[in-house]
Formats: sequence, structure tokens, C-alpha cells
Amino acid sequence: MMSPLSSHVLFHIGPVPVTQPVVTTWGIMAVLTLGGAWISRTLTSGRPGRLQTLLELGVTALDQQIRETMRTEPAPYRSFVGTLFLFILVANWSSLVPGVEPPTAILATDAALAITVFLAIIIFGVRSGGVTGYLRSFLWPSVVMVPLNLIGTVTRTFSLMVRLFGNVMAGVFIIGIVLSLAGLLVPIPLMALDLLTGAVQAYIFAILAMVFIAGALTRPAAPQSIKNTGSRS
Amino acid sequence: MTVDWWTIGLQVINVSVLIWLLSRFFWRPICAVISRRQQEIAAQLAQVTDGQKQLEADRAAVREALSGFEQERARIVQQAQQDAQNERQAILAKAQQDAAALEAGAKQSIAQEEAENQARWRSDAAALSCDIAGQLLAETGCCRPARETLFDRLLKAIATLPDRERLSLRDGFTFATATAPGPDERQAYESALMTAVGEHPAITWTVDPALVEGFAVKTPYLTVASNWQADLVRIREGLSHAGH
Repeated sequence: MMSPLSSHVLFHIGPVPVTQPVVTTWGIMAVLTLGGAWISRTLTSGRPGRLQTLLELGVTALDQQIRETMRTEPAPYRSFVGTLFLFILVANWSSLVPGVEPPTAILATDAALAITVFLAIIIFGVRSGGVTGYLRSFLWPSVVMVPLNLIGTVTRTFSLMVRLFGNVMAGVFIIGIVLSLAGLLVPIPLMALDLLTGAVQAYIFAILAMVFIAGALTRPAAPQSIKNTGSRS
Repeated sequence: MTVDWWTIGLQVINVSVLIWLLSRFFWRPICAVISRRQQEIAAQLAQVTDGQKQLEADRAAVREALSGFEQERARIVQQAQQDAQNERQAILAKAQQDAAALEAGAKQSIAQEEAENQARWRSDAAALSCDIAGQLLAETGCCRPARETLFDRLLKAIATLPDRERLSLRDGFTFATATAPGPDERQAYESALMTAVGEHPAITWTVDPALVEGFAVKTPYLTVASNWQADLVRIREGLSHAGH
């Protein structure tokens, strides 16, 4: 078993080494893109089939989750959050395919996902309130909190990376160890548990991404309500 | 521990590209379909709502029409009852009028029939009386003074005739007697008649027992009677017309 902190280089494109998680990610991207495109072709505005009903149910649930978590309309964030969830879920579950090591079990992939969320926080924050508005979000709730907010921005990105990496890597390691010690069929319950863990981690990652992005959005209501309450007293 | 920056960079690009690809080929189409279906469902719901409103309006109109029908029915029934009452009163009045007319006609008819019966009975009684009188006179015979009286009345009747009719007797006439006169009587009658007429006419003597008693002078155009038969006829006619 290779170290989860390093990746096996399969080939090079010029000076760029292409590692095994990158190739696996390409495969997952191809599956998701082709599957999504195929499903889109089967969609109908008439009487929907089972698959379309299931998809509409999932999308509606995702929108509802975004609406409840971020307190805003889900349309601008649906693609980002939904794709993160789908990618992490498929990547986690890719361990079920023999010979495939999930890319999320490699630290670089989790770091890439965390960096993507970090960039998305900045992009959505700037898009919501402008550069000034985004920077002003570090002042909330007071100026004293600016250093902590800055540190929190980095540490929560780091925590995203470590949480996902630790859970997935642990599952892969446990299954590998049990497999090497006990035999062929013994790890099956652990693999089922790994499925659950993978789904939960994908859900947690997406939820945390929503929470962090929502924290960067402009908050017009809170200071006003505080001011009103103070003047009343 | 070394950080694989190339892999991190490639994975960031991969995730970004995947977000773009799925946004274009998956999320956008399915959200468009969901939105379209939601719009269609909303439109159908709106149609159903409009249909329900229309249905409520139709129900209200039907209720209103039924109320109008009820009022119209009550009005028609009241009008029919009023018409029936008027018709009944008119029929009763006409029936009473017809009954009164029938009663009056019946009374008039009864009175007329009664009058006719009385007239007929009077006439029959007069005829019967005259027949009885004629029969009694025929059976009991006559006395000479009565015959002379009848003859004198005949002469007076001839004398009171208009000149033209009296002069026409000079051309001749038939002299009827109830009984055959004797020679003396015949002579006396002839003499008196010539005196009454004024010349010597041709006299044809006949005996007519139907005269009962008395005389009659007859020409084709004139009859001068002075006999009981004529008197009885006159009396009977007088009795018959006495009630009218």
C-alpha cells in the first residue's frame, strides 16, 4: 500500500507529472459528465419516469438544503455544491471498484477540494457584496475578530481537507489491513460501513462548504436588528 | 513529507472543469425541466382554480336561476289561481245568467203553452157548446117569431149592403132556407126580397138544414146570412177570441 501523502506518477505531460488520483479523477469526471449528459437527454417536461422523478426529488432536496443552510436562493450555488457532493460521493465509493484507489484517499485531492471551496468562498463573497463587502465580512461581529476570522478562513479550509482525508484514508486503510489479515469476504461489512462513511463525508463536506460560503455573503439584517434593539432599550 | 503541488493544481483544475461541465450538461437542463414542469403545474393549477371559480360562478348562477324559477313558479301559480278564480266567477255568472234566461224562457214557454191550452180549451168548449146548442135547436125545432126575426134581420142586412153589392143581387141569387117554406111563406119571402133588392131577380130556392134555422142569400161573390148556424159560428169565434 502506498503512502497516502504521496501519489504514484503514471506519466508526464511535459514537465507535469500525472499521478494516479488525477487519472482516476478524469475517469470520474468522464462518468459524471457523460452520465449527466445522457440523463439530460432523457428528461421530459411531460410525465416523468422513475429516474427523472428520482433526480427531481434529489435536486429539490438539494435546493431545500441550500435554502435552509444558506438562507438564500439556491440557483447560484446549486452547481457548485451539488457537483462537490456528487464528485466526493463517487470518489469515495470508487473504492468498491477493484483496483481503483479513491482519489479522496490522497491528500492532494482533498487539498484541491478544500482550495476550491476556499476560492469559491472568495468568489461568491465578492460577487455578493463586492470586494469591500467581502473584506467587511471579516469585521463581523467586531473589529477585534479580524485576526480570528482570517485564521479561521485558513483553518476551516485546512479542517475540510483533513476531515475528508482522514475519514476516507482511514476507511481504505482499515479495509486494506483487514483484507490482508483475514481474507476475502471479511472486509465486506467494513466496506458497507465505508459506503456509509463516504456518503456522510460527502454530505458533511457539501454542508460545510455551504456554511462557509454563506458566512462570506453580505448580512444586511443582523446589524440593523441589533441597532433597533439597542435604541429601544 | 512533500507537497505534490502539481497534483493539487491538476485536481483543482479538474474539479473546476467538472463543476463547469456538470453545470452545463446536468444541473442546468434538469433545473430547466423542473422549472418548466413547475410552471406547467402552476398553469394547470391556475386552470383548475379558474375552473373552480367558473364552477362556483356557474353554481351561483344556477342557484340564482333556480331562485328566479321559484319566484316565477310562485307568480305563475298565483296568476293561474287568479285566472281560475276569475274564470270560475265568470262561468258562475254566465251559468246564473243562462239559468235565469232558461228559467225565463221556460216560464214564458209555460205561460204561452198555458195560454194556448186555455185558448184551445176555450175554442173546444165554444165549439162543443155551439154543437150542443145547434143540436138542441135542431132537435127542438123553431118557433115562427124567431124565423121572422131572422128574416127581418136578413132584409136589414141586405138593406145595409153597399149599393154596388145590393144592386148585384138583381142579377139573381140563391136563397137558402133551413126548412122548406110553405107556399105562403115562399110568396111572402119572395115579395119581401124583391122589395129589398128593388127589382124582380131570378131566385133559386134551396133547402140547407145545416143552417139550423134562418136564411142565406148567396151569389158567387156575396153571401148574406141570417141563420143560427152563422150565429153559432160567430158566437163560437167570439168565445174563442174572448180570452185573447
